[in-house]
Amino acid sequence: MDVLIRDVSFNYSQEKKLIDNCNLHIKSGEVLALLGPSGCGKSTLLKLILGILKPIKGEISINGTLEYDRNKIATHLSEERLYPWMTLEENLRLVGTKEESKKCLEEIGLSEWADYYPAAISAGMKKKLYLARISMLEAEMWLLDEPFNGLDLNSKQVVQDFLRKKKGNKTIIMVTHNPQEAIDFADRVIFWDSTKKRPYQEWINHNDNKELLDYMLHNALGMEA
Amino acid sequence: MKNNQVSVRKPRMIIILFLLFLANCDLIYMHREEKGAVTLLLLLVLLVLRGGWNILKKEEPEVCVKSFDFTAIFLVMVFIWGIIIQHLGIGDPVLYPSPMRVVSMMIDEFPRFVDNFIFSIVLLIESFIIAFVIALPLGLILGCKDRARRACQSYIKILSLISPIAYLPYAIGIMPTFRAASVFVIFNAMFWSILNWTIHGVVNFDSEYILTAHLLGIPKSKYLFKILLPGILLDILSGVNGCITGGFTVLIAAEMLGSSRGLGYFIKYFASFLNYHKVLIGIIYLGLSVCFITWLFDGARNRLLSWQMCERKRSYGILWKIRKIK
Repeated sequence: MDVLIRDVSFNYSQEKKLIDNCNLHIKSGEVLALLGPSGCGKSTLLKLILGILKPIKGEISINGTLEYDRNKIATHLSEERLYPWMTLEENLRLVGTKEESKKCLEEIGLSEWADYYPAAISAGMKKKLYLARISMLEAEMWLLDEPFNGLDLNSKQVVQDFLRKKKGNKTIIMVTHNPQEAIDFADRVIFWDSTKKRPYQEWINHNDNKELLDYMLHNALGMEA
Repeated sequence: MKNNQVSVRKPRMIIILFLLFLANCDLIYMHREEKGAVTLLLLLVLLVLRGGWNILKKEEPEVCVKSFDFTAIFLVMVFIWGIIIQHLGIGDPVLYPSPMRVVSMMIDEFPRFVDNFIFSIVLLIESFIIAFVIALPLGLILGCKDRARRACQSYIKILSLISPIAYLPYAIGIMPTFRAASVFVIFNAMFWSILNWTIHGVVNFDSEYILTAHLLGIPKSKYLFKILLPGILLDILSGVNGCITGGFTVLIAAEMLGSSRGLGYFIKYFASFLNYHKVLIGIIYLGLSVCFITWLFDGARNRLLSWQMCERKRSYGILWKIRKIK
């Protein structure tokens, strides 16, 4: 899926603009990370792409059309929940068959928890399950809001490997405030300027520039990974 | 720390239970109502054994303490009741029977009770099914459709506040049989409770669950049966709980007014002969019937909402690995 964002502006209230004249082109099959501090409008951009929110100005076209099929987009938002009255396997079965659910749980390392309710598992395990659920949907694009938040290093590695394996030729747009996650997972990293309220700088992520990228991102954000 | 407290309490609990038991045995032994005395003694033995069994089985402290408290209160009640009526002779024996006499009469009247209980329970179930089948879909629709809900809100409020008993004379007039009139009145007592709780559940359903369903592209029928209904089940069951209590109250009142069978009739029948001993038996049987129905309902609710137990235990930080009961 090819996403073209043209002159998009958005605000929740009249006084404060959250996104101002955002222009972005995400190529088909690309993994793009939107990096920026919390509350700068990254997640709102995902909701605009998804169509939950409408831009006050500009347009977002997917595969060259404004009337795209949103069923082809699988999304993980921070507001997403597991249904507490269903076991982990039943939660996955909402979007797939029993066999698919079992296989998915196995791949993500949660097969022994299949018959447990979500209250029995940790926040990190829940995160894994959200992503497992996304991977079961028949979609051409994944929108991931803070997909690795709350995961320890090992789990992060497992989940990233799992997502890479399931990715195929899907386009992935992920939002994060953690530079290390962006470097580890994305092909292209875009830094979001919270004062100009739009993306302002981008880096292509190759294997040979990881150290430089790491240095630049940490300096740009002024934070430790 | 908690376990230590319980282990210290164990022998003390057993001694207290044993002493209370002995006191009651003595009281029962001295009485002439042989059938009642033997049954009551058997009941006391069972209760004491149950309390002891829980301790021996090393059940959770809460379960042991609850069982102990229940048995102790029962033993104390029977003991005081027996002392006042049998030994001190306080109260008119025509109005206040001894515990042994009550148990003896309960055994005699058991077949009659079963017959009347079945009649009442069938009436209750019939009314419940009609109320549930109408109130649940209506509650779902009104919960989802804001305009319809706002339009009906005042009517629902007014109608649900009218006591169902008030409809009884009118229902007897317009319905072909007394049974139909009873069903109508009990239906009225049950309907509003289920309707109001279902609307409450739908309106307050967590918006994040709705968003998740939207993100996952879940079809409407799946959303209704797998997400919305199980999600508001707690509210629906609260409505059902209210409707059982309300329905039972109205059922007894209706049967007292015009029925020729049922638990209400059982009490009214003996009251008309001024047989207060049997009226008391009827009241005790009535209490036991409500307990039985509530016990069945609680069992069903715990089963249906077993996931909530997991959430609660998780929040207490104990036994957090809860598997679904299969």
